[in-house]
Amino acid sequence: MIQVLVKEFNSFLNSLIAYVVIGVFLTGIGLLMWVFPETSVLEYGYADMETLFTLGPYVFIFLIPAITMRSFAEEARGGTLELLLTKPLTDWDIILGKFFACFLLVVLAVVPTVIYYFSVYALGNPVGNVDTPGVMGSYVGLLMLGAVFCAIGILASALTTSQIVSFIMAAFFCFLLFAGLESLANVNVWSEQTLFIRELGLLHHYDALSKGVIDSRNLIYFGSVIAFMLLLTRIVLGARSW
Amino acid sequence: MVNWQDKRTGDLLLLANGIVLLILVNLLSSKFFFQWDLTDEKRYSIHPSTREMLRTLDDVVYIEVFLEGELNADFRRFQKSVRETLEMFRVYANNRVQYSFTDPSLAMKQQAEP
Repeated sequence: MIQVLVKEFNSFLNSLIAYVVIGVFLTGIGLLMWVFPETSVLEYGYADMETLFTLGPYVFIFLIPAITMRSFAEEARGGTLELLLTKPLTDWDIILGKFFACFLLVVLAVVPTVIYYFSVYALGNPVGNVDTPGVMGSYVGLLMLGAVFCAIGILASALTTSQIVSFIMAAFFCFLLFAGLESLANVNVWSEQTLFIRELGLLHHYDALSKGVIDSRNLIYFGSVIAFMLLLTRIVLGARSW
Repeated sequence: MVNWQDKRTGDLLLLANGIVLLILVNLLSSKFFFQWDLTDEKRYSIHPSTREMLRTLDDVVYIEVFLEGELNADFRRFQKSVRETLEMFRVYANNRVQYSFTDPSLAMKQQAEP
């Protein structure tokens, strides 16, 4: 697993992908958080980081599929997937290696935003008047969300040999699972099941973490979605030799 | 006769087992969970006596909150925290606390309803 992880992560760093992803994420979030008046912390007047945590997921929906889209699709198209599968590695080694390489890149993109926390901390009146537990919980949620999106992207990449198809599918599934189910629950036909549908979506669990309480139910939910997506990837890869 | 040595059967069984396992884990975790309150003053932990009261409610309690619509920043934050507290009540009361948010300028009736 480690070998695949290192190889994949190096290939991110050797191409432009890593720098573009990190650059675009930080530029986008930085503009939203400090410059654009509708969402800027300076205009809002409260020392909190709501902007990062409500808009970050939407930036992820476009960025993470772009990171993951090549992982299996490119190997399948270039014919190197057979080569990789014949190496003395299990399917799980390959899948987990690629998954964690993508996740590591996401973590690398999120880490510099910790500076925003210190800025907001210093801007608070009195200084330090920030909801620190809320921010910590939100970071846990944001990273879990990034991991889920990576798993979805890996699955989409294994399903097709075209990177563009993979990107579009991954972005769509991420959106559907994140905001789609929440909006679907608001359609006025479910009555009793409304809450159940909302709990199936990612947004419900993400919001729950953001208030500063780490709840085992939310973590287990995120873990199961990741496990399910990677399991499907394993089946899709295995289906090549049925 | 099913050929148990077949790779396809094995993979499908793996998928089926995985799905069942994940559903079971989630069902169990919704009953047995722990919360780690990061706040210093334990803002989000509900007092045991409140929890006891919620657990032993005789009937469904409907709460209608007149706090919706075009709100400014202060009230948006207030609305969010009210919603979070009510949501926690609902979980501890086993769905016997129901709530809805209404825009006061659009409200038609005086009494809360399901």
